[in-house]
Amino acid sequence: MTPEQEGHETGAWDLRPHVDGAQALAAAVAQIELAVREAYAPVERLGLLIDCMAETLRDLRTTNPPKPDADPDLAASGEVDWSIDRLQKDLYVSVTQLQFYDRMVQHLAHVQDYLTSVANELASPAATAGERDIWDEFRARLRMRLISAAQRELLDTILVPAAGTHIASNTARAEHASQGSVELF
Amino acid sequence: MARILAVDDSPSMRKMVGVTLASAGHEVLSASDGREALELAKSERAVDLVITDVNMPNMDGITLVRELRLLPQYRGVPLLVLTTEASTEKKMEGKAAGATGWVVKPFSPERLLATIAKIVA
Repeated sequence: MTPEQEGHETGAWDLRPHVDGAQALAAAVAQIELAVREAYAPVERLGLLIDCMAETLRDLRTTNPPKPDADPDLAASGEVDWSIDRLQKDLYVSVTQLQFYDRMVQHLAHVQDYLTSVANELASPAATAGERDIWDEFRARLRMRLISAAQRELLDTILVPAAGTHIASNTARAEHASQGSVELF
Repeated sequence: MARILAVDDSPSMRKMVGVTLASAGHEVLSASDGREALELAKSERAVDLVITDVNMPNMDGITLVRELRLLPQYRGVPLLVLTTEASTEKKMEGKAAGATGWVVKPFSPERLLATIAKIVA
């Protein structure tokens, strides 16, 4: 009997693709983690630049307080006011845009958790890889943690939910508030 | 101008909220999770507004809201939730815990400041 045949006889050979799959997923998780870690310092630097903008804005406002009765024809004061307004707008745009980094890190953390759950399941000696329920459970957990309609739609397109659990995109959108929305109770 | 406690486990989010609030002249205190915020709330005089994230280690934002509402000095203080959590279910959980409002990240500084102006007397 060849080693391959022996493996099939004992069932050990059948586990090999699962172990390989688990290792591939673990490698993907590690790469995501490294990418996030490598981006941390540059993003922190961007945060410091936003601090500098905010400080400059404060200084400009202190030295150029609003003059309600200022002559609008005076070019000098108009230019300073315009620069202060422009800086404030730029600061607010920077604050809004930098939040997408946080959002991306959170998104990747959810994907990492999902991949880790799948890898652990595949590597488990008592792997229930043949059972549909466990994969549906992992998928449902990831879907619940995703934060935008686009993220959920992408998941639904590639990993089609089990029959009876599909949530139409329109319904999903209605169940989630849009980003930047404000609701007072 | 108001004295505001900003609670978020992400340092960059704390910075973004802090910069926004300070640009409008507000005084900002910050905490990195619900437990730290609750300790601060118990030891300091009450702030005018609390802005909290939901998903945080040690104590999440919904639990923080619930715990703050048990403190006599925080019964009437507006508690704003600022989070990526956008599901109706989670929002209702926050409302039941005693939250005043729900803002979904990424927030617009102008809208956040306008909301604060509306809810802080």
